[in-house]
Amino acid sequence: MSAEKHTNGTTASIMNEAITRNEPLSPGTILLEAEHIRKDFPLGGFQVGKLGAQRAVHAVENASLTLRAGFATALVGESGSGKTTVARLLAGMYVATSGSIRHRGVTVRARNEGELRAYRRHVQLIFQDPFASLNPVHTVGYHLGRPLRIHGHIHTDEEEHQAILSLLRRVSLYPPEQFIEKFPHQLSGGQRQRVAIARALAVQPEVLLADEPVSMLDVSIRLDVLNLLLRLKNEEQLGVLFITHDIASARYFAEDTLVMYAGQIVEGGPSDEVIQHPKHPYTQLLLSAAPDPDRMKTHTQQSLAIPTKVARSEPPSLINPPQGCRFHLRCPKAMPVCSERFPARTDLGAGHWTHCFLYGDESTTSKEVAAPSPLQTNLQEGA
Amino acid sequence: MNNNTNVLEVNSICVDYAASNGTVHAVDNVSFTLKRGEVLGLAGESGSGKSTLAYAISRLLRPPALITQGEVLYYQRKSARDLNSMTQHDFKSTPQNAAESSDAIEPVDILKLTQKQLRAFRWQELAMVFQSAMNALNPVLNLEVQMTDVLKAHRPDMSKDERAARAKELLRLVGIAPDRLRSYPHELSGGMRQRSIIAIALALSPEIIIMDEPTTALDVVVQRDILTELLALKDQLGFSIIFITHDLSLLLEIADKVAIMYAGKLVETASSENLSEHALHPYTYGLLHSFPSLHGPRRKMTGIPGSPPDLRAVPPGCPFHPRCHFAFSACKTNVPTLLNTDAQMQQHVACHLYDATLNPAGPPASLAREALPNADSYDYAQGTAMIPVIRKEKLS
Amino acid sequence: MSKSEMDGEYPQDTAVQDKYELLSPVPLPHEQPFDDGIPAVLPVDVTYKAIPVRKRGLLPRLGLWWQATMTTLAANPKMLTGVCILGFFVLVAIFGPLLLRHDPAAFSNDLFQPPSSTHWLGTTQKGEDIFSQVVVGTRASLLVGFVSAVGATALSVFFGMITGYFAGLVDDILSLVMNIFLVIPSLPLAIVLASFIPFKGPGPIIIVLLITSWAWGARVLRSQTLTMRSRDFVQAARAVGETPAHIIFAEILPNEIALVSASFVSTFIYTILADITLEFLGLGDVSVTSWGNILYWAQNDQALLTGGWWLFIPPGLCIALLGAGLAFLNYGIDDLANPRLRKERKPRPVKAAKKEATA
Repeated sequence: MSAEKHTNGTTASIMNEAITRNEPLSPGTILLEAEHIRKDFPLGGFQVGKLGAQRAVHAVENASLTLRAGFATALVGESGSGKTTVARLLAGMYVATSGSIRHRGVTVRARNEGELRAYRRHVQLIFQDPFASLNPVHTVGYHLGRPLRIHGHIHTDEEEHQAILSLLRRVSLYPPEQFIEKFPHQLSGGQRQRVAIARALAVQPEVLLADEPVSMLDVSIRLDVLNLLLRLKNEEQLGVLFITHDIASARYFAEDTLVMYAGQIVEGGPSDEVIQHPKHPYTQLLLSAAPDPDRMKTHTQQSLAIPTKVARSEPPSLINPPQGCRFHLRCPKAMPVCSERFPARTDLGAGHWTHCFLYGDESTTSKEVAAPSPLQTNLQEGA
Repeated sequence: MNNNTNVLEVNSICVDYAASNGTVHAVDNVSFTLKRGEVLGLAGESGSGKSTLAYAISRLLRPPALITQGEVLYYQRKSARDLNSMTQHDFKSTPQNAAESSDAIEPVDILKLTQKQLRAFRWQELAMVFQSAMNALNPVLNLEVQMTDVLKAHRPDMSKDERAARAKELLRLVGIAPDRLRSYPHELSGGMRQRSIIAIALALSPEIIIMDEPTTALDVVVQRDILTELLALKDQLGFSIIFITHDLSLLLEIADKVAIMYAGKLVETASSENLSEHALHPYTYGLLHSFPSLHGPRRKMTGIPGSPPDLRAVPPGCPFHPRCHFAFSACKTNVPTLLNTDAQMQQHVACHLYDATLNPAGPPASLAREALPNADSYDYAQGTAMIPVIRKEKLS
Repeated sequence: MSKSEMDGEYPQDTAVQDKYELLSPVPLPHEQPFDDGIPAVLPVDVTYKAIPVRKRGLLPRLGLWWQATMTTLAANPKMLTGVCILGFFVLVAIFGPLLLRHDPAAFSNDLFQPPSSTHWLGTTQKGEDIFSQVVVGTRASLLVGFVSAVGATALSVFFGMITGYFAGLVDDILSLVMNIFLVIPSLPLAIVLASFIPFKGPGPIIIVLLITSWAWGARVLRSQTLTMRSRDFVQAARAVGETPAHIIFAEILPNEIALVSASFVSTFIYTILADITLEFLGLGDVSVTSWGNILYWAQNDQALLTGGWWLFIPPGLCIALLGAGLAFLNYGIDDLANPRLRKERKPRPVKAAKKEATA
């Protein structure tokens, strides 16, 4: 789908042309690349931890992902896995301790406010809590008008008014005139999240980072908002990073899924591939624990029970994370090598890859892992 | 254990909040029954009144919330304690032994209990587990103190050692190592905190446990583990559970019977198999299809257009009709009541589609949106954002 | 069951804010061109008759604000009391001196007279009419207190919010300064400063009070701003590209207005009392008529020993009354700012609930 716009001969369209992007994006263009991102939050004080280094929260270790125009990537993980930190790193709110972020091939180095603002014109973040992400003392019109003004898209009041109406229509808030003067507390949760999306769109970004955009909304309106994001992604060829803890909505929304545990990305690939044939033990655990009414008919509750070793333990503290693969303490298939180092990426074919010693230590080509390894058993069967 | 006797009967309960600009009917004429050893799931979105209902049953509501009508009948076990005396109680450890005699047990209306009876009732017959364990646990007291506190209050005849032993036994029941007895809440992980709350709830072997979104704040893995254990405990100890959540897919897995609430009214009640196979109410159907599936083909799905109504401005007639694709003229004017659709299926639904007098044509063959005309021209990705709110006329 | 059967209108309400008629229950999704001029295709059975939103002018806005204020006051008797008392004194300050019979500085022949019909509050040792003095003195006391309070609040807003928003080195330095000013007792410091300034008058008092009363409010605002800056909407404003100055004063400050108002009222009470204290000690300009000076002269003339109660009780009562009124006002602001403090009225029995006709 191209980003062609219909034009009428009205003044509205002339103004709209002024705010639309100049060149349409061809689908698949690589927009944002993060390579080997690492983020440590230093803890204050003079405590000396291991190796004399200062104590820190090792929030993200070695995350790499690619966002392409018109494609959505889901980042799935539990709370505390570092997925929000990844989003904020990509949005420029934190500076990575090491690793690089490249926007359209150019390394992002935001040294001052101006450069940061220029970067944020292309990458926008949508927050999780619709109730907190809008300032309660300002109207919807203010929230949408500010980004338009700051980034110089409009110059007069009339243009601003038209542009705001256009934005509200794009996120399906009808009739738009009614919404301009409303305050956030007069809107429902779904409407607030739509306003937040409209605010992100006002900047005309290329990349949308959606941090659990529907987790705090009512169940029956989640799909509406997800479908809205899908429509916007298709119409404008945005690259979308969809962060969630619900793996089913990841499958619905995104073409690619990445699974994250305790700051490490452990598996990735096409959504269906990862979800139907999970390879990493943590992914298998997630899938067996997720509510699935279709499964109800064939399994009893007891057969779904998770082995005690896995369930009773909690995700590790990120201040002193386990060495090597951070899941090895809970993993039913842990090997001695798992506590020594983090496994390199193993390609499993069809774009599906994982970081697990069960499938090989070095990067291997798809040919060599075509045959399933005898160690690949589902957790359900192993329980 | 006899599973067919009722332990709780709620009849036509109404809870109103007296706000300054009119009365809000948080719970409107809700009736259901709970059997012994059954798990009843109460599902609904925000504003559906499910939490208010739970608080009303346990009489935890404060003004401006008022229970304006209804009764909540509780059936004690025959060998159980007398609610009128607080002191001498028989300590029940295995309720299966209690003989269910055929004599009719006189039910007690919880809403009419005196304060003294209520103190005897609370925690011994009915316990509650709240959403956030950190809200329920006192951060400056360790676990042992909090657990024995409950025992001290209700069982003054127990000695200190007996209390400690009971606390250890409870922790063992829920899967916490007994050496964590002296820990403070902040030293425990989220899952352990929730388990300790459940242990406190089980302290006096209640008959009913009401759980208000107990696992929403927890990880999926921990949630699964806690729920599996909870069901095992239920089978072992024989209590009933009222499980309140918005996650319908979870309820279908763990509940025996599911009740769906919308805008304070009960719209459908059915066993979980029946609900997942044939949901009768359009809202239930829409809700079931709001959860993307993990397996099966990837289809474009749509939620339910509009959003749950503000309880201060509930649409007239059936509260769901502005969002309902099957609404017809009667839906705007008549409030539907729960109808028994099929005696065997035990499925009740409050919808005019199943009312032979109002809808002589009979219910539609399928509630799927695809069955509607012009389905192809629907752009599901468009979504619909705004359903107007109709304000009620001010009560004079 | 087709769409055409779903006609009819919903009952209209009388609220003006937002109302529209919907002539069919479910708006159908319709084709929408990407850049959004007029939609290309409007489906037949969806019509919105929306009342257009007028851009309100200044006067109607003021009218709405007045209405809102009156409603809040009516619901809050404490605040109403405070507002009335304060309003009374403000009126006295503005209009009182114009309606006086006696010139407050005029010496008369009635020396040291108790209250009578000619001199409502009696006279001083020199024959000045106390009632006129009190009325005229209201102006000076209120003005000095008000200006100091406004200045101190402005300083505390500025420093507190800057400190709270820019954590780090700025925070460390300014916090140190704030802490110094907090640790030193304000009133003794004011007395010391005022006695060192060579010239006397309202000006030096204002400056001295400014210096000693900004720290407390700044501290409070600093901690509030510290929590606010990690809120999502502040992060979102940063992500959109707002400058820090805009974020502090246009995004965070409006959320803290209640706190600022409460801080202002507390500071106002303090500055009035401190001003009176300073003048009572003779550190103000003793030739200007103000409540503090009345007390100064009363003390000078041994009013307590000679039994001249009318010399110090009237100004003292005025001070107490004004202080109480401001305290009431503060209670009211607390109630307004924190909805949880509002007392819930006991629910009145709900009259027979209007149940719609059931099937």
